[in-house]
Amino acid sequence: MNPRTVPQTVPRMVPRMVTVWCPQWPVVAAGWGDGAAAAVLHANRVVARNAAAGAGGVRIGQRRREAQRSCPELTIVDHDPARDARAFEPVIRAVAELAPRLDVVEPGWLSLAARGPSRYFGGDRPLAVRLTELVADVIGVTGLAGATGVTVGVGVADGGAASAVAARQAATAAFRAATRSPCEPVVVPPGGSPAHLAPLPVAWLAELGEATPELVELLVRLGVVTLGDLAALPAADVLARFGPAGAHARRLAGGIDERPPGSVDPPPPRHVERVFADPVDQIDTVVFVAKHLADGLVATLGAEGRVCTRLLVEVETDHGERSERSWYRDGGLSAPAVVERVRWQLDGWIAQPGAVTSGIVLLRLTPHEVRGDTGSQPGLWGGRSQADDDAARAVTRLTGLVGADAVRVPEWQGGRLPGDRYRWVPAVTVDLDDPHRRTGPVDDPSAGPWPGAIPAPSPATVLPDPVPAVLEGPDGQPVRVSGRGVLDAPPAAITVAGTTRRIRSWAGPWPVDQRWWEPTRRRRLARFQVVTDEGDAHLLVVEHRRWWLLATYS
Amino acid sequence: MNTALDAVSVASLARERVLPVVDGLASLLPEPGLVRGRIVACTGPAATSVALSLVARATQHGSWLAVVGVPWLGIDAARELGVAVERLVAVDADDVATWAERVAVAVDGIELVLGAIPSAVPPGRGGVERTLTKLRRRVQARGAVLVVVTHRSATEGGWADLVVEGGGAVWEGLGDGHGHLRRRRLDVRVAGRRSPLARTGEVWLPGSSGAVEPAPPPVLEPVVERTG
Repeated sequence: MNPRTVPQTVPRMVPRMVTVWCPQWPVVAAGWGDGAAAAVLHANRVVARNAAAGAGGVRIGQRRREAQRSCPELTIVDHDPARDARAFEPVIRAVAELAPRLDVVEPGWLSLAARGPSRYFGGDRPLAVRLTELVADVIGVTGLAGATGVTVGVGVADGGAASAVAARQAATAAFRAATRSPCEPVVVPPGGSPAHLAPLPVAWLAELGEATPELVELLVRLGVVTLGDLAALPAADVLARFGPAGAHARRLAGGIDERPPGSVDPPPPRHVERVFADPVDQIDTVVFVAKHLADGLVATLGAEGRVCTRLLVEVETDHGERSERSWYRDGGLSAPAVVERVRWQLDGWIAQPGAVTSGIVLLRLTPHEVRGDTGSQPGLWGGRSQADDDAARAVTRLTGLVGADAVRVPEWQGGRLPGDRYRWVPAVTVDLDDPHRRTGPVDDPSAGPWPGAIPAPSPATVLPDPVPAVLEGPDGQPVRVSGRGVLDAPPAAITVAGTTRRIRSWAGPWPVDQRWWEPTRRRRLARFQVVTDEGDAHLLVVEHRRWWLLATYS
Repeated sequence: MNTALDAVSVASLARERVLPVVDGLASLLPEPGLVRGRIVACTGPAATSVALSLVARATQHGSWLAVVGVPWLGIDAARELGVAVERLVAVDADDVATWAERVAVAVDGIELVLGAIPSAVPPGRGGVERTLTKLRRRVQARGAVLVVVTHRSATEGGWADLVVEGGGAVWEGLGDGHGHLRRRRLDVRVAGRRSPLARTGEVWLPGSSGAVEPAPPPVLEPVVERTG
């Protein structure tokens, strides 16, 4: 696509933005930023990996087994968003000294208006270089950078999205050149955003979280390969064919700021706040209050057809210490997203030594930027309903009544034993609206069944604690299974809790040899299915010659 | 296609009153779905699978499911029987009093509650039946459906509007040292305080596809004398 065909009429209102982006932040925050191969996994998928792992063939989105196969020496770390936020807090504080009005998009990614600081430092490039060094230094001081330093991408351009692209390009260039730190910032000249974006593939939109992977795939199938192609399409046609999400993508592709042209200024900000009569020491308590406030705020805005895209969260303690952060999310902040950000902010703040010396007395949420809800909220496309809202409220009330650990949702992790396949996570820590939550293996049809798992159906009763059992042969003696999986007698009866039942049919052993590479955690066991004369089906295991009832097909 | 049409017809006839149920079981119920405000007891050796199958279709259509006091619930089985696991929330409960309290909060915002009555009864607070009778009013007021997995006698105390019993299981697929469990033929018997005749029928639960599959159509038989 010839850049000249790109619309050059960039509205004056597009502000100059700087983005600071630390690639693979979760793995840096975990302390594995460099050195031996390491990856951070969430729900059995790689969400971040370091350079060594990348060189070993580990890719984002890969399953645990694939990652381990391509890189056997890989160290695996569990994803912990609170850790990411805590580790990023010093960076935010340092940058805030240069420019107090900064927006944190997520841990590892922040943006700020370039105009003021750029004038102070004598131009965009000096500012970008200064920011790169500053962030690299801060991360170095915290000890996360390791010996070779850490990659920091800084980009300056017209508009938040274009600067985010520039920051990623800066980081990627450094990564490729293996120069790592310090790396050269990318500065797009004023008015140059459309031409800069035009040759890039449309997949960038998904990378920035501005469009769904499905939309990008559809665009590519239709022959719209680059951002320039997309920007060259008539706006009305894009809106008609792809809806508001497509129109938004086209605006970004054209280097136009994310705010739709002609959008009215936000109404006077109205904050919601809660003053605690007794200072609160528990983060959870504050988070629950935040949930309540966020529900109210999002509902009020939603009633007017608006969403909040930039939110200021202020927290104050009894001793007057304050934490103030501005959070930005282009798609609009849903109530769970607000709660998540309050939690990040609190976690990061409290982890600062000496930052907090008393309980919290004030929590205030102020919507700084509000815009018409164009329907790009994931929840709306995913079919968020009244039932979802009601359920979210019931979950919050139950959590308040019972405690966070007792109200849980299942998260798929896979495994060979029925009790291993799901783990339970507190419901309040999960974005229940997230359409990409891992609740089962089915969303990856290419993966096939979990290797070594017994085929469906699965038992409806999975005992939290296995119950001792005895599988007896015809002579009444316990059946013994050799290391090669040979039984010394066919099972004839099963005794559980003093009750003996005759066995009509059975199958097994299906051996499991788990973690054979770890001597202390290695488990060797064999599984059996049995059906009794009464028609009850059970799943048993034998381990170290002892039989256990694991589950019942009730 | 068929299921989509069914869903539309159910929704347009009695959307406010009835939550949809999979075909194989719906034909056995007195009404073609789970009526809001009712308590359904599932009994028999296959009670858990029957309960999961009853709620599965409604969760696919957007209802949330709270599971209260069923720490042994197999989520894999729930998923295979068609429960939308992304709309499942589990709550712990150790004794009857806390169980009832948490169910009462859950029905406030969640349309479907699946529970198992804990065996521990705190002293001096009335029996299980009294607790359930109180809970019943709450469920009716909220228009939720409470599905209870119980091994108590089916009509004991009369707290359940509907009793669905799954028994007479015959498993297929397992041989003498070979094969694996594939599907189960189950006799399902539905009785209720509002239906004079008990309905019985055979279903595959789970069927070879994992979910419920209908077997021959239901027959009517006179209700057996209720024993108190």
